[in-house]
Amino acid sequence: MAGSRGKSGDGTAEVALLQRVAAGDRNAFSELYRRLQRPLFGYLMKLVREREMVEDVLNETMMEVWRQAARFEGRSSVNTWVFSIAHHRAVSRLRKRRETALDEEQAAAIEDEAPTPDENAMTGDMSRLIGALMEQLSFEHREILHLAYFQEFSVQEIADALDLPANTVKTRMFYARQRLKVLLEKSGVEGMVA
Amino acid sequence: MTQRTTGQPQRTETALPLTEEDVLELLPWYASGKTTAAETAAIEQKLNANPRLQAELKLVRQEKQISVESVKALGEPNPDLLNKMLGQLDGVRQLPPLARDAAEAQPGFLARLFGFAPTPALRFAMVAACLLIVAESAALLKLTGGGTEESYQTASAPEAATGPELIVHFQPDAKLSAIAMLLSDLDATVVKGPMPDGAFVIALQKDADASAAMTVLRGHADLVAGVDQGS
Repeated sequence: MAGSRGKSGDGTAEVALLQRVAAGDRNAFSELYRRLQRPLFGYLMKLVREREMVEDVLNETMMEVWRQAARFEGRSSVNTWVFSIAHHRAVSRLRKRRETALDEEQAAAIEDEAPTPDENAMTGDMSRLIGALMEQLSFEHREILHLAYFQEFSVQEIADALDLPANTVKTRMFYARQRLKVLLEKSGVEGMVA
Repeated sequence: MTQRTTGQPQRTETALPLTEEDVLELLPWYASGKTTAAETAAIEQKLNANPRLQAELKLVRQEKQISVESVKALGEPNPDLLNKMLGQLDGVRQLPPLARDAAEAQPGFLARLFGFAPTPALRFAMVAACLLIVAESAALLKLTGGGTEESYQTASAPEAATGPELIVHFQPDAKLSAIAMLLSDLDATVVKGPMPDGAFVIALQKDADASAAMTVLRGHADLVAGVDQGS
């Protein structure tokens, strides 16, 4: 998969598979799923978090891939096209659960959940602290960090998947990292925010 | 502009005139080898002379490693999921490809969403009306502009539905992409609108159950303000 862990080159294999899926080839569907399942599962777990719901959204995403395969026009990679579907499905599910983007009040509540300096000292583990704080970021910030760091999507691939301007992708990433630093400061790690 | 690249950062003779802030924004992609050769050269030039940026890159790499490890710890999806999906495929109708002529004429998102290619005047009116009902005006304008990227082409086909019609009022803050996905789920196309009161007429597939579709639409109160039976 181009741009994701378990890469398979430049994405031409996925395009060929998708063409076969569009022709109703179940074997191609299975193969495409095998290639996509881990990156999609990791992505959705970061967004939706509940395993049962993640598997529902993964199922819905792949059903949509089956339905829409013939409509893929190659304007973006197969990878970003499928992630775009997954993104919309996840947002839709979370909206139904009334857990869309965090508002200020929720964000404030989350700040309160950040580990205290004492807790930080007890763990003595910066990596674990950063990992825990990443989980406390908003949906949008978790998503952008995951797509850039884990999936290794380029700016343009993220822009394609999330239907955002490239500059917005860069600034969103910047603010996600700034937010992480603020949470680190609140946890007693000094010198994070310039 | 960052481009799609898959290799490691490459050096080039020409470095871009990036500011420190530009470099800060690009470091996450530099760490993954996803910056262009020109960006990479400029970033490395700045990095060599700037301890603050070097510290920032170290933090980016730490965040990246944590991100990767956290996903590895999540495990894998249920192995039975593929069989479950394969069992569902017969019940999922595959959509035909978009007509090439229509695609080349760049009817854009509205044509796919609305099931017909609007005239320029009508298109303007539709866009203007949609701007009143859709909060994502920037995204809408991008989608309606010819030749732009449309990463999720969910919206319904030029192959317009010819079944029962419903009159739908969408919520003022409904996102266009969410509306498109809902209509796609229903195999419905917008055949008329916006009406003077802001409503749209959507058509279902020939054998579709209008009552069931109305129930589905009403279940999406965050997107649909009201729905009535049409002609």
